[in-house]
Amino acid sequence: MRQALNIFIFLLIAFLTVQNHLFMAALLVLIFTYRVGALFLIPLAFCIDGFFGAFYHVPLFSIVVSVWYLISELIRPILILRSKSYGEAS
Amino acid sequence: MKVRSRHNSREERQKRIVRVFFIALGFILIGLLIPYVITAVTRAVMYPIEATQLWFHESQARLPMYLRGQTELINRITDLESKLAAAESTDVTQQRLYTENQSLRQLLSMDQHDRIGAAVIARPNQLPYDLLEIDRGANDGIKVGAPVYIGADNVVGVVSQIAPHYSFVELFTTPGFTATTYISGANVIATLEGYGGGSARVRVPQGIPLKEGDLVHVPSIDPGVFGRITYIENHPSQPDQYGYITLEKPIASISYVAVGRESLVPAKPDVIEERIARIIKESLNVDTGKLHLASSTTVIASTTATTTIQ
Repeated sequence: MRQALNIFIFLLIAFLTVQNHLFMAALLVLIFTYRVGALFLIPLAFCIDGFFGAFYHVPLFSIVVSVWYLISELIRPILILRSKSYGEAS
Repeated sequence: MKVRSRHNSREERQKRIVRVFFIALGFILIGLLIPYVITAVTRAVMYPIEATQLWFHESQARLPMYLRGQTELINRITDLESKLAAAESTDVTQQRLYTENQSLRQLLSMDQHDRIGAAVIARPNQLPYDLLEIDRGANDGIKVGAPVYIGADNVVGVVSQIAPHYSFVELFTTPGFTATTYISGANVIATLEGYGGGSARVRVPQGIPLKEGDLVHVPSIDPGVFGRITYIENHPSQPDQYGYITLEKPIASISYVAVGRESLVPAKPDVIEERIARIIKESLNVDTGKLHLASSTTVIASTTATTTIQ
């Protein structure tokens, strides 16, 4: 169920980005990063940039998502540790 | 040993993150070098998403049609709301311009008199009370002593000082200002005295039936109605009674005035008498329709009375 939901969010991010609903896509990216991580978003960003022909100019999505991966992977362990410690305390 | 293994796994993780990041950068570089290959591959990969998008935008199925219709309706409502707001603002502008045009036409009484329209550019408290500054001066044909109107026949003062591009108007309510007036209801000639603070008064002897609402004319100006008596001060022990007149419009509300082309010249007594006679004549005129009705009622009443007696 959890995996199915993650896949659904991933597809929804792709669909919303193609539809140009970037704000909603960004919110889902945050959720997906927290749940799964940003690694799977890198190929998706590649595909979206390729779909829009951004490699002829500047592949903005790919660059942003790569940087986001770097940042999120540094932040994520701290967030997970915090949430775990709160869970134990309560 | 445990601490060392945790330390090692952390290092490995960081190394992995950096490795993935650089691999991603490498792919980006490759994509930039051979964009046509990447584009072709990704188009194939993204085909399901593209098909979904197409289905969402163009399909005649119930769900996408419903969603599309909803979006279109929302856009249509927004569009109509903005159009309505624009139309309302246009309507307000038209209404304002129409009202302004009507009031200016009335002020200048264009079909009867030749007057100069002027905007009030300073008033009390910027100036001493009972003084106005207007934006027309000698270059526009304003003369010292010209009557100043705030309506078709509502005169409020005279031009007291002029400059090439502006003038000052002294209102009848200025303390020390005097003018001969005719009070139409009481049918009496009295001297108007400026009282200050936007009001003036007329002094008449006791016994004259002065009433609130009586019109005060300035017969030396034609047409020249100054205003109505709004308050009467009458002490039976005093020899005189006073009728107070305030301006028809508050000074703060006077934004436009009309100035007569000719300055006031001392009017001859016979001319003034003629004007007073005209005012009396006008006040004697009554609605003939009502008069006829009243006389016929009298006839009916008298006939009924006669019949009863018989």
